[in-house]
Amino acid sequence: MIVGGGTAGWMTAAGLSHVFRNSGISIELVESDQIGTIGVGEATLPHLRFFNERLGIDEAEFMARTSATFKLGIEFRDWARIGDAYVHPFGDYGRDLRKVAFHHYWLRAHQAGREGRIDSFSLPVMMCEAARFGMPSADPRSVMSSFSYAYQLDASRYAAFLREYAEARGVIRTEGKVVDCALTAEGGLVDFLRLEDGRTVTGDLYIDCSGFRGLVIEQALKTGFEDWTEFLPCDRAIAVPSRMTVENVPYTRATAREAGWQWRIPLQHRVGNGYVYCSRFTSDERAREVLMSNLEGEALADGKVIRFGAGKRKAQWVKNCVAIGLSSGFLEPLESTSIYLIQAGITALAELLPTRDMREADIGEFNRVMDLEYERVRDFLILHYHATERDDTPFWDYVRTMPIPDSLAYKMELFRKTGTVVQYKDGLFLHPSWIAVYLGQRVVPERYDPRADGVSEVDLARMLSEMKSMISGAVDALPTHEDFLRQYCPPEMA
Amino acid sequence: MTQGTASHDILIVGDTIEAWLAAACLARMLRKTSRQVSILPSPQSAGTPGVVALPPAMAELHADLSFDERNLLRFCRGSFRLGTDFKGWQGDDSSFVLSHGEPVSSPGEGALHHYWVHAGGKGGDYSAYIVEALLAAEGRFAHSEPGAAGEPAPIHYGYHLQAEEYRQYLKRAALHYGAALVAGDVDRVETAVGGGMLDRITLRDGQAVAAALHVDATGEGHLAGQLGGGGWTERGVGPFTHFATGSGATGPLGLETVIASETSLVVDVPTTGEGGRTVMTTGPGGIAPLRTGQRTPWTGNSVSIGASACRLLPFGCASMSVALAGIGKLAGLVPDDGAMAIASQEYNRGMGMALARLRDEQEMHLALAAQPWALPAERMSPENQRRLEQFRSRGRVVTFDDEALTAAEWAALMIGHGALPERIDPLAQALPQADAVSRLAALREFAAGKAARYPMQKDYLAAAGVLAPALGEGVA
Repeated sequence: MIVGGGTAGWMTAAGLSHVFRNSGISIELVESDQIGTIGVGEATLPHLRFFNERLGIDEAEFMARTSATFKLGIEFRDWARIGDAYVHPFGDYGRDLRKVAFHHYWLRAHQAGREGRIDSFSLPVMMCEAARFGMPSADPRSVMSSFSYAYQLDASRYAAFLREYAEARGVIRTEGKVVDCALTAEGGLVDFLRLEDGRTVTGDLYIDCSGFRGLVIEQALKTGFEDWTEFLPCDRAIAVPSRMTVENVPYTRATAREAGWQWRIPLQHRVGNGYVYCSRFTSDERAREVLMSNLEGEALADGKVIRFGAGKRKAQWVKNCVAIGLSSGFLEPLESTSIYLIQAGITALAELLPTRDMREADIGEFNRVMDLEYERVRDFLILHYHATERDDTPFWDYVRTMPIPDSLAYKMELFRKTGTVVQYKDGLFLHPSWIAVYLGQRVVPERYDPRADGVSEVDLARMLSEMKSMISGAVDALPTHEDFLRQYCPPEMA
Repeated sequence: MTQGTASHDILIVGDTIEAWLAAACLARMLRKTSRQVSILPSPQSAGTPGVVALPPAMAELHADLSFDERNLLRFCRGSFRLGTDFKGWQGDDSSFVLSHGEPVSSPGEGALHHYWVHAGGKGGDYSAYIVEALLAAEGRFAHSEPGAAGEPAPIHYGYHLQAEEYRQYLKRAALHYGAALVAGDVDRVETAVGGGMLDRITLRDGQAVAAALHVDATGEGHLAGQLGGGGWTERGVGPFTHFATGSGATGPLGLETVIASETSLVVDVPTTGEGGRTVMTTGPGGIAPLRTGQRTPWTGNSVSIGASACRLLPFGCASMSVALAGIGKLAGLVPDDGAMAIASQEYNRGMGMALARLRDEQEMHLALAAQPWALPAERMSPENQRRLEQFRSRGRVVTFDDEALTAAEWAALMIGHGALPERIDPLAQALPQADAVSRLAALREFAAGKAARYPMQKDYLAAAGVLAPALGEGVA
């Protein structure tokens, strides 16, 4: 029984209906048309491609139906210093040589004053700057294999698209507003849900996709919330769509503002905008003023204030209830992780879905996996705020000097002293992502790997020059992002 | 450092396999840089085992060192290693081969083992789906399938080498790549005030040497034992307290055999030379005491690698996996003065995980044995307990950072010892059992057909000239 529609609910319904087709498991989703959805995460990460592929979704049709554009990364403006800009790309920098990461070679040349920014060695960054797009290659010898891509999409349309998909595969949708959750007398398990009109719905396993409220996981089961606002103090957002007035670019933009940051997400038919801010440092009125004065095109709505708090549920799976989406936790959309965390929850649940009984071993494993996902995303987000030189507003001065988790302090120190990125197997952001944000936020290593000296200066200069030429040549051969979209997934396909 | 002491950038101390391997790797890696790698081969190694088993990752490292594989095997009278045969672990005559390979395919979207369990005993031996396991059991080998259409899948292999020859081979390589030899015997090791840093090593001839970074590859922790915080923690892996080594292994080339009894483990490692046999006993039936344990590997300006850092039970690729992990991590963290503290912290963090995962592998074998000495499951690491619990519960293979085994290898290990999932992936469950059985039979036939096309390893080695006498051959 899935409680709540929206992106989380329908992604869960679609994912589980596909994985458990022919298994005899019946899936029901209860939602109310009266309750609006947050429409979380218009910008996504490359993992969503694999989710859609596994469901057998045709990419061009999906993009046309959701007014999606391609996304090669996120541009950060004014974060470390006012006037700075960098892209966190979905792809590698250069190519590693003799088991030494490329950025050490770049650093050697950079320290000697022979190379400028590392961006020139990233194909997706260069594609972003040229507003061009092409599909990646599966041939590892091709420079076009060095990147991945995600989508910028209309999340409400995506939920509707997946609803159609899920219902076609047997998911039952029940219209109704859940007003009460009854627990069993023995064990305190979720027994049934009562709807506003008096009907009841029941299931063996309840998947709470009810959003921030956590209708089942929190309101009924009192799971508790782990508050991370000490590290991620932004607690409000205003979202406003605007008319598209400039060329459509294949990236999301996050611009630092006086008490937070503003997003810009270009879709095919409009631009999604929003201001994530901290209410301790600015008012709702001032935030709205900042957002509206920084729109590129005409606003298409007034925008309402959304309140949230960073953190996660103390457990995502309790008894016979699993929380997925905003009911499981919230991390601001700075790195477009909301839909990814939904996907991670679905994947873990699919692997651990109870068959005959609910076992503590499965519950513990699900919570372990999801805790790891949340914590590693958390550290990555904090890095953006804390690694700044800005002290021009009280907000930036606070985040610059605030205490940070020991795990992040260690990662930053290691990179600063040795250029080494802490490695881990599980977790979302890998080497290139950390390198992009470290360097973009001016966390520059004091030294490079001594093995990088194993290449002569002449060879290194030639190698770097060839890489740059190869990348710029590849970019020049690509169509513009707009032309690619027009040809690949025009609105009339929808 | 005391005045009058000869100083080095990186000084490796020891005459062990790991000492020379570290010297070869670091010297090659840093040969065009300003860092000099030196080696003081002392104390002379008295306890070199007869044979060593090298994990598949060593093939890649050898390639980095530009080793000619045929030359290496000829010189070290070695063979290609494909896996280990565990005999008698369940207290009967059952056995299974744990190879370095993965199943050829799966009957559906889920992992093979779910369908194999679903077949309810009609799926044959689990190892029958893994080409490397089939080759190992039959003594066959080639780098890839002879006559295969298209690009053939490579075989995953390690090596079995005569240890002394391998040490000599590495020594030549290290010197070839420019490692500077420091002649002399260690007399005493002195620490700086406070005991956290090595000050100098005095040799028997009165000379003194020191380095910015010392690498303790003595096998016994001769340097680390002098440092505060570098103490050895005895942590037994199972009840084996004594051991003895000798030669005369039997069995197919490429297949290590570990035979369990109520009081011992007998490990046979065949090579094209004498091979090696190790006997571990639960009492003083062996000759020497068997020490297992580890220390914090990097303290101050000294980093321990290999047996100086960690000793596990001598079966599988344990000792060389420990050495490889240490050298691999050190290669990425060779510090200068300003980064010693954070580099050591990261090294110890990474090695802590890597050694824990290597220990997990051995502890899982011991915990799943049906022998009087079996390790109680609750004495395994929390990670291993979760791994076994999840696998038994629903066939989920949990892996962690710095794993020594792949998920498929873990599944094969647990199944081999009889740990079976109570429930399986619903995707596999949805397939009618008869379909699962027939698809599995087809996969076994496919794997067996592939394996049958491989030559016997002895013939393969002979054709490659590996079995020819090696006289005065060099490296690379």
